[in-house]
Amino acid sequence: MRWLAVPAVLVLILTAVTGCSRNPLFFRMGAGYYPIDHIGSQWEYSIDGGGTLIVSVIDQTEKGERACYRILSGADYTYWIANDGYLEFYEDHRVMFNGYEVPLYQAWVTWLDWPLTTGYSRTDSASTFAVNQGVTISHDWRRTSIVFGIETSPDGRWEQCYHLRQNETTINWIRAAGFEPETTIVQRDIWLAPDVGLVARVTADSSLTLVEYLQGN
Amino acid sequence: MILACSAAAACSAIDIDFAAETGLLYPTGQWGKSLNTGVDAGLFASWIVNPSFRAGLGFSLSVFGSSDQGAASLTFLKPQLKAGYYLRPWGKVFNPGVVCAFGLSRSSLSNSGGTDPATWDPFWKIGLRWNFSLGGGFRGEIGGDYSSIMAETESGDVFTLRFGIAREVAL
Repeated sequence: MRWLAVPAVLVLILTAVTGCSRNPLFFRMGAGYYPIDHIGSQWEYSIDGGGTLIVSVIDQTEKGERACYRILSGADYTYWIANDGYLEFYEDHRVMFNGYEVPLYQAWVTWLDWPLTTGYSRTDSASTFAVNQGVTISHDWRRTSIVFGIETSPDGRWEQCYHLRQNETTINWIRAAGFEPETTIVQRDIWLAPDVGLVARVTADSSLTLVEYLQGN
Repeated sequence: MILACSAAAACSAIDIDFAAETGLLYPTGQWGKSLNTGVDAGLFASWIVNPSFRAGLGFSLSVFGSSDQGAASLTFLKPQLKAGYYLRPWGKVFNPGVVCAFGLSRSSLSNSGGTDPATWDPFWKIGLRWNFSLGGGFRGEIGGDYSSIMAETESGDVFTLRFGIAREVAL
């Protein structure tokens, strides 16, 4: 009967080798899905309907008393902090009122927690107000991020992407006669590729597709 | 179980080593960058082929948590075949040995309400042990393991500090 042990072990080994999954979980866990921590990195996107958008990591600076990376996206600067477990974004919400730019909400807010997973969900919100020229302006903001799944990017070029949908609602209300709450709703579908970052973004009025990525130092 | 049954059938009376192990897991490589130190627990039954060599099977369960404020957790369930060779099986205080194991790992990652598809992958493990007597028929064991889950594209490598307790039983 002792000979039974040998085939039993062989069957187990064979099952192990042939039964392994095609699911690179550890690759995804080790990859940077928003690698903004390399100064000089540059992403070039084509915009549906014509034009390009260049996004580049400019330098490290300080914002809101925190050290962060400054990113030039088109003509605008954005600010990010890359932690091991999460990514933070500097929310800078402003509104124009009587020719003045009124700051409403400035804060570091976690953009995503790592590692991403299918079904991941995160909601951030803020409710605040500012007084300008004797008028109160209220500001309500809410952003929900949900990961739909692991997909290939829409252009078929990037694999193991997390498909993320963000819904962002902003309500600004100038509390004076003649003004109504102004509601803005934006839905973004984003594809994040391993060690590349954002490779596609689709909103109601624009689509971006990554053309070229150059990693910085 | 097949191996244990085969072994049991092969001998009229065999010595079995029942062991319970626990450990602290340290991911090596980029895959663990957003995880904290993990914990591990396992149960094993091994046939004592001779005083120095034993072979058997068992399973272990490992859990990792987020390194920061997140809610991520990664679990491994590992049914495995295991073998060990000890240099001084008569030694009450110092009985060094080497162990190795091979099996399957079910890896499951979850975070903030989401779960990635679980993956079954082969894994191997090799480790060093310091085995010693605890009295009353029990033996203790400390040591370290290096293991690797051979997933597609990138493996999940882990160093483990291991603690165990075992009792030999004649069946």
